[in-house]
Amino acid sequence: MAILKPDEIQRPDVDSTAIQVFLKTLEILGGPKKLITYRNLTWLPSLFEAAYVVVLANDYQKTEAEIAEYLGITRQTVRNILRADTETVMKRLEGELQEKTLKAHIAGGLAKLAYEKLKSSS
Amino acid sequence: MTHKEYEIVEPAVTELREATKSAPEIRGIPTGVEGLDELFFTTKVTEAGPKRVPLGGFPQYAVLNLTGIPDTGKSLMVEQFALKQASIGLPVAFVTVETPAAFLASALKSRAIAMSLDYEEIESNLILIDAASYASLREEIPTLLNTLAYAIKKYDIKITVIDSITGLFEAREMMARSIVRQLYNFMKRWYQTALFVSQKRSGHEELSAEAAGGYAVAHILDGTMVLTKKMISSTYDERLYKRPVGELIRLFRIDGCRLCGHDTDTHVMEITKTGLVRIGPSLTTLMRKSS
Repeated sequence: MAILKPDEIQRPDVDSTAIQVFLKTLEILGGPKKLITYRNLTWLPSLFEAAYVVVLANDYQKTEAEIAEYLGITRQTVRNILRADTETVMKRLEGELQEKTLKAHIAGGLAKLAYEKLKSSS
Repeated sequence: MTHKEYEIVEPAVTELREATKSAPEIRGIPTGVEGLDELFFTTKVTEAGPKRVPLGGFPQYAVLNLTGIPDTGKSLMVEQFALKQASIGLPVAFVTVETPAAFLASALKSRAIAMSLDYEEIESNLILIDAASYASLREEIPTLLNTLAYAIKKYDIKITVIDSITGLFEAREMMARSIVRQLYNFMKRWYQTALFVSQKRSGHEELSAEAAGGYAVAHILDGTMVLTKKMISSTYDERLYKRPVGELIRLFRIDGCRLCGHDTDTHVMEITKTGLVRIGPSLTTLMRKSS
């Protein structure tokens, strides 16, 4: 009877999943060029952050507190990202494109939308 | 920015004729539990019309839920299933979430002796994945699924047992639906015939499909089998169950199965002196005998 050894445990790479979600958010936004055109490259850190939050919450079932500690952000930011509404995010994005700073719930909505799309296509 | 239109998922729309071409044939996978193989059936067309034909086991590729309160025989049942399959040469992955692998191995050995099975054959076909000892397997579903995929590819595994899935959402029951859905989709993607054990909470009705996580497990999986136990405490019980007052009786029922027909009666289930479970007569049969 074979017992799987500890070195056979296959831990997936959180970073690569978060990168996939991040790239999908860019695709949803219309591609990187669109962000450059609108001078919105300052959104990128928030989108990356939101991608990590969504992956850690959904794939790893981490709590808000655990995610906040892991990423070094506040629990409130994590909460805003996770409670973001994916239904309305695209409608609200229109006005947001004029803003230089991306609100956590908009970044969260985009990341959640990207995550859902990735999962449904996998 | 213009609002993006919702995409059309064209491959999801299929004619029944096309879907039938890739539909797997449903055949029985022996359960290793006396009296259980006959409780799943299919229908065949004969000259005399449609006829019910026993499947001879769990339907192949089904992902089934086995639920019950503590000490009803859930683990025994899945262990017998795993041993039976391994003994006939089918590689089995046994994800142990409650008992560390080394302890499970000794229990399996004594069970195999009681079942008079070829233990050498079993040893080469049964792969234990110890989620009881490694928290990353218990707490990170992607790690568990990646590891299972690794084992399936390495050992060409066809059968998966998880005892129990409740241990994968302990203290986070609101995640049950999402976790069970991921496990179910994974089993389907890898064409596994799978048995998931789930535990009941004290408030759950004992012979219902409800378990930890509510009805999430039963709703998502292909079918549910329920185990319970009852103390014989009255002369009525004595007459009905043909057991003396003070004795414990175990009951078994198939609550539902999407993939094939099944018996719907509640059956007596026994644990033999050698520690094996077997399904006995239905309560309807016992009632007829007692009247």
